Amino acid sequence: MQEFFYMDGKWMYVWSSYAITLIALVLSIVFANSRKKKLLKEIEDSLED
Amino acid sequence: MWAWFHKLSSPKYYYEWSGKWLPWLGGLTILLSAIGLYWGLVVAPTDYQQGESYRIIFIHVPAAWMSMFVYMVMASAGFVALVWKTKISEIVVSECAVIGAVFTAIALVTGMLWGKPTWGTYWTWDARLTSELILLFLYFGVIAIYSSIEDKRVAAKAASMLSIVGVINIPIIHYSVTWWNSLHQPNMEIISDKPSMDPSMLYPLLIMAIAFKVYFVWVLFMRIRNEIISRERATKWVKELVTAS
Repeated sequence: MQEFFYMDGKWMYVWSSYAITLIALVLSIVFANSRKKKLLKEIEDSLED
Repeated sequence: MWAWFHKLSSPKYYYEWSGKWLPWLGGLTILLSAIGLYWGLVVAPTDYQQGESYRIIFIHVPAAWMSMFVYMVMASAGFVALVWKTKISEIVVSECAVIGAVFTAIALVTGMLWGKPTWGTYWTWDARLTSELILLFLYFGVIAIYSSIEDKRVAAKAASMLSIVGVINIPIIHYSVTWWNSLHQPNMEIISDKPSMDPSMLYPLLIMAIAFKVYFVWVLFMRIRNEIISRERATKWVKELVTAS
């Protein structure tokens, strides 16, 4: 298991690549969802006014 | 078929139709990524030349492919937006630009992280790297144009024109390693009797490439739906949708 994470000494390059990709792809989804919620709230508020 | 495409260009119909696909696309992305990552990181053997650092390939190459694929989708939508002036194609242009910029940035950063242990440097002004960087600037240009013009129909027209002009960069990226001396490795031969990669490495790579494509469609649908709500907020169907939710 330790060998797997160590990646023959290249762990920093390999795991930071995967971490950056994961963060970027997950954030894209989070932003899309939060924008949807914000838009629906804005429209809902304007309807109440 | 054409009647269906015509129907799909209606924002209301598109919103309802795409909503049904979202859970399937999300589930498929997670499933394919899990299989591809397990195969690529655990099952695939170590490369005899590059050692373990080659495993960056399973995200770098799909991201690089997607950076060009998304650009072609964006430019095609730009062409449709200019010729047929459909609202959905205009939205596709603006939303593809953001997703494409993310894929291009991932390709560049993971490429740099792969370059350091392989070439001894994070960056070199090599034809492949430079043309990929230009692609990122083209995406930024489309985003900037679309954001800076208040009238979104006019903004989409200008962004579409830039996206079509920028298509010239796509063959330059693809053939840069053939046309110029490059530190970057040559293009992989996948559709061939003798692929340039062993199947134990090629299959997880292809699975990850499909996972990235499904992810793109998933996020694109989500972003298009948001933009539809934003643009159509004054219409009766959006008001009814908000009231019902």
